[in-house]
Amino acid sequence: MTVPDLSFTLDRTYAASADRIYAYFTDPDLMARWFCPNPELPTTCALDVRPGGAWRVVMGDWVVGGSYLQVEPPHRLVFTFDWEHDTDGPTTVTVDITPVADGTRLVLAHEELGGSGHEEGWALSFVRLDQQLG
Amino acid sequence: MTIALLCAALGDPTRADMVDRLARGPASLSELAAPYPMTLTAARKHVGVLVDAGWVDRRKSGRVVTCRLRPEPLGELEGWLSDRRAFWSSALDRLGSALERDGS
Repeated sequence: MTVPDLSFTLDRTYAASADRIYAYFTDPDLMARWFCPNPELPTTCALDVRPGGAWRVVMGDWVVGGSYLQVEPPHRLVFTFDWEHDTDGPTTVTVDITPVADGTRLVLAHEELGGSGHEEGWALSFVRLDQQLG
Repeated sequence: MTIALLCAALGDPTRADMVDRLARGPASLSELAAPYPMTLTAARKHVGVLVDAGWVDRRKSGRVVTCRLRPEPLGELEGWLSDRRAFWSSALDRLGSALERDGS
């Protein structure tokens, strides 16, 4: 298949409990300590952590956000991820947090656009429609 | 040409398949349509969507319409993917540093 697969998976193990790692993804103050690539930018996180709840991180002029699809503390978070500065549709990020012998494993899966989910497919159709109308 | 448009165009299995076919070299519209149980008009519509999205160039010479894949979209998608991957990879590095820095 030549059409590129737009999904990827990152796999890390941290010397910290699942509860702590989960907190760094869901507590606004803790998330602000690591999320922004540029430490100079003031970063604020607004996280309504429940299925259907919205999240939004403002890093100076850069804004990214989405909504939570699955919330299972402290082991799983699934959320959409969408930069406000571009017209690319949202992607889906799944974070799985599992205790292992030497710490806690975090697997982050990034799902391709327009993947299996019907909702994303619809969202993309709407993007397309907007561009044709606009 | 946007990532969303490029991907939306491939959301249909026939179009994804056509792009795959064109990756092996240019083809005429009738060659492209041949594997599918559909009319030439239906195939032409699919190609039209691929042209609009930026995947395909369509040239007419005489009565033959030749379709070829444009090189840009694959590069665009790869760049987009590597940006996203780099963002999350460095974010998880920063998470590790923050966890260490803050202690347990």
